This record gives sequence, C-alpha cells and structure tokens, in this order.
Amino acid sequence: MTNLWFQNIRIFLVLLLEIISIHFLLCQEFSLHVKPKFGSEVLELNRPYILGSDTLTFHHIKFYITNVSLQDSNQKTLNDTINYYLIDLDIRKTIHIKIQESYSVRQLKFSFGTDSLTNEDGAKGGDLDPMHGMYWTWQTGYINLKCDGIVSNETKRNHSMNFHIGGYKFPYNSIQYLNFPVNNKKFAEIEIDFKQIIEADVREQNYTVMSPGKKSQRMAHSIKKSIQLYQ
Amino acid sequence: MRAVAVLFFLWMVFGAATKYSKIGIPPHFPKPYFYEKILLLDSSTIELGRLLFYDPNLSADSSISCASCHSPYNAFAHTDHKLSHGIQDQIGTRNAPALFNLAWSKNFMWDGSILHLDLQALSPINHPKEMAETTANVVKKISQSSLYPHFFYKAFGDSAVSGEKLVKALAQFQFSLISANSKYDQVKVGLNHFSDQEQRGYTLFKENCNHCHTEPLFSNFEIEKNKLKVDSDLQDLGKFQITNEPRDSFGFKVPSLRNLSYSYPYMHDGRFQYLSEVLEHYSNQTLTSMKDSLNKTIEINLNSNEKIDLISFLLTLNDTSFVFNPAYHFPKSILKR
Repeated sequence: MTNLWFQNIRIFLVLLLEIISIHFLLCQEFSLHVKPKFGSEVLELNRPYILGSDTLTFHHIKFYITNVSLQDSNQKTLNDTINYYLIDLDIRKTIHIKIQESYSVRQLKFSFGTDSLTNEDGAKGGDLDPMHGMYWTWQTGYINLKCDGIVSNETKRNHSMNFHIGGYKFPYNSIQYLNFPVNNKKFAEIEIDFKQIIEADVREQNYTVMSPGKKSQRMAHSIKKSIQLYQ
Repeated sequence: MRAVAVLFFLWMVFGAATKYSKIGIPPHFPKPYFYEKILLLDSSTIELGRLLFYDPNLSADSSISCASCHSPYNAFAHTDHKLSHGIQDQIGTRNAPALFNLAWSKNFMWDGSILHLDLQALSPINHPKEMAETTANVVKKISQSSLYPHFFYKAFGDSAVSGEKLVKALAQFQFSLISANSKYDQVKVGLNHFSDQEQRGYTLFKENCNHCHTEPLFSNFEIEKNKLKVDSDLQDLGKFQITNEPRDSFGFKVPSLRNLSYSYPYMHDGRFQYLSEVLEHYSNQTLTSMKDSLNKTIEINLNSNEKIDLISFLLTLNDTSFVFNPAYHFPKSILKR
C-alpha cells in the first residue's frame, strides 16, 4: 500500500516537472528596446549636443511606458502582466514581455505616461514607487517624462534644463497612446528623438517646463511624434 | 437617541479608547470619503506610521519631523507659528493645518492640490523650505536604521523599506487621528446638553457658517473664497497656483472648526490670532460659495452679543480627549528625542 502511494507521488512529481519544463520551453520573450536619439546621433547622458546656439547636456532622462499589449495575426491580444515600466537611461532601456512560442507578434500598443486612475489611486510600489522621484510632490500625479540637465551658450553657462512633463486631468491630459505594426515577433526598437521634442517646444531659450498645462501637453504631443519604431 | 448614545459609548470603549485597532466610524458621522482606508486600518501599520511621523530623520539634517509643525498638543497644528517653520529656520508661505478626521476629506493642503493622503507626505519631505529631503534618501536612511526592520515586518510582512510602504504607513497613522468626542459630539448623541448661550451660538452657526463649515465635520472640504486681502509679501493666490485657472484665484480649502482652542492662529496664512478677529472679518460680509457650482450667496451680519454666543458654541468643538490621547503622542518608549 505504502509502495503504491510512493509510486503515485513519483509519477505525479515527474508529470509536474514535465509540465513546468514544457511551459518554460514554450515560453519566449518579446523585447522592446528604447533608443534615445538627438537628431541623427544616439543620445548619451552627460555628453554635449548642439541645438542652434545652445549646448545641451542631459544628466537624467526617465519616463513611463505603460499598458503594453501585443496582437498576433489572428487579432488575439496579449496584455502584459506588468503594466508599468520606468525607463531610466541610467538603469534600464529594455522591456521584456513573456509570450508563448506560437505567438506571432504583429502589432505593438503602449502608452507613454500613466493613466488617470493610476494617478489618483494612492501610493504604489515597483516602478511607480514615489522614491523614484517621478511623483509630483506638490500636487497629485505622476511625471510622465523627466529630463534634467544643463544648457549653455555665449551669454549663459550651465543654466538648468528641466522638462517634467505630465498631467492627467482634462483638458491637459498628457498621456500618449502609440500603436505600431511589428514584423519581428521577438524584438522591436523604438527611437525617441529628444532634439525633435525640445526643438518643437522651446521658446526663447526657455528650457523649463515643470507643471501640467498647455506647455506640458504640447510637449507630450511632440514626444508622440518623435517616437519611431525600428526592427 | 438612546441607540445613538449606546453606539457612541461602544465606539468610545472599543474604538477611540482602544489603543490602535478597530478604529471605527463615529455613529453621528457620515460615511468617510476614504471609507476603505478606515475599514482597513491596521494597528501595526499605524504604529509604524506613528514612529515615522515623529522621526526627524525624514528631514535632510535630521532636525525636523512631521510633528515639528503638526504637534499633537495643538490638534496637530502649530500654535504660535503663523507660517510653517522648516529646516534651518526657513519660513514657508502657509500655516500648518490641524490634522484629524482626514478620511472625510477628499483633498489635502490649503489649495486642495493633493487628492490622496497616501501621497501627501511627499510634499513636506521634498519641499526645500520644510524637510528638504528626497524620498529616495529617506528610504535609504530608514533602511539603514536598526529600529525599523521589525516594525516594517510587522506592518507589511516584509522588513524591506520602500517609498510606497513609508508613505502608506504615515497616511495610516494620520487616518487614525479621529476627533469625535467634543461637547458638541456628546450633545449630538444625547450624552450632554448645550448651555443656553451655546444653543444660541449653535443656531447662529447653522444660519451663518454651516454652508461651508458643514457639521459634524465642520468643513465641506471644498475650495472657497473668503475675501481675505492678499498678503503683499506672500502673494498667495491659493488654488490658482496649481490650476492657473482664474476662477480658482484666492480659493483655499475650508478648514474644520474642531479644536480651535488648540490650533490657532487661523486662516491659511495664520493672520488671525483670536477667534474674535476671525468673526470680525466675516461680519458684514457677503460670501459666494463655490460648492457644487451653486454660487450660493451668504450674507453674514453679527452683532457683538451674537459673536460672543457664536464663540461659545465654537468652543464646544474642542476635543480634549483627542488632543491628550497618549496613543497619538511621541512614542517615547521606542524613539529617543
């Protein structure tokens, strides 16, 4: 009786191990890599870039990519189980999403920034933890893009450059929704051109936008326009 | 009335009087805006929040704690300081508000700029004139302290410190600060009676003040304009500074009138030291409430006797058992001064 019981348990464990192994074998990743650019150049932190008569040096760039979802050729949608990714050029530029081997990615959807529910729903952990410095401390809401550095030209040296772009309330909601067709089922790269973003919105050499409103929303639209997908 | 009195008694015995847990909703109070927060209050998280609230390590030079500007003996306001007094004697632009019954408020700060208490603590921690720290560095300092792992483990089942846990614990302690045992409260549940003067004051209150300072919380928690002249040094435009909308100019959140004897000076910039000055300001005023966009106009005309009667009623809103509740005070058995 005891031997039979042990035999059954052994069969059960072997089957369980096989199921787990098959699951991992069939489970693959779709990787989304973020490549920051400044015009035609690859953007690196703490390196000077020329914009008109100004020299810009970026010290920190962080932003949220959220609500990533994939679609295959049969229109079957796969929503990522992790909803929020903080891209920090100091730390992380790639997102990995688990997919089944048979899943053939044809469409990529994601949001640049956080939605209104996330902004008003109390403290959150992980990439949304307020210790990452992406929550506005003087009002409710997440900063969707934080881009800090310095700007110099003939008349000024090392003036602050601070773009803190966000806002979730009507009429200045700044979240941006993006949607790209995908050919490669395991990898995609998005380029974000910071020259295009800043060039479109900087007026009279003013390199500061630090609150929600018209300027922030206009800049959020420029962010969307500056994002291209490469495979 | 007898049933309410029994409920109130039970709330006092098993709710407020219990050291931490089972903090219920006073029977004569409406449903809180943050109802779930009150239901889910947890004694271990409140205990951790209390430690953090009194810990000066939350400031850049470890000199200022939350309690520095929100003293329990002042109903968690800052008596004698018109404007908040932060790190290295820096002075802010607004009076530190009293803290109690926060689960009934739908927004926080004098301009209503913060919509969830969980995230309110980020404001003073990161403000250069208040605690001048960064959230990340506070997390680092608290992580390195030998005191906290035990309390984080008790509260969250994990001793690791994070920004999320830190602000949630601080919020839980503040949500637990419930003031509901003033003479007014006792009258409302049939355990006490107003004097004739207090009753006259109560009638005047309902006629003149209740629209904005709505009982039993004594605030409608809206942003309203009270026709105070703008301080030429501070140039504080209230909610306008957050929204940039002209309609929000000079709009400030309506404070509760509970515990006024402990929480002076009054108004968003602490300009009035005495209640008589406040009533002087409101007398002969025509105010238009912004609540629900009804634009209701209220004319306030009080003679000198009526002002005294009204103050007599306002003093019934003092809750001594709240102010002197040791469960809210400095945790001297754990923290060192």
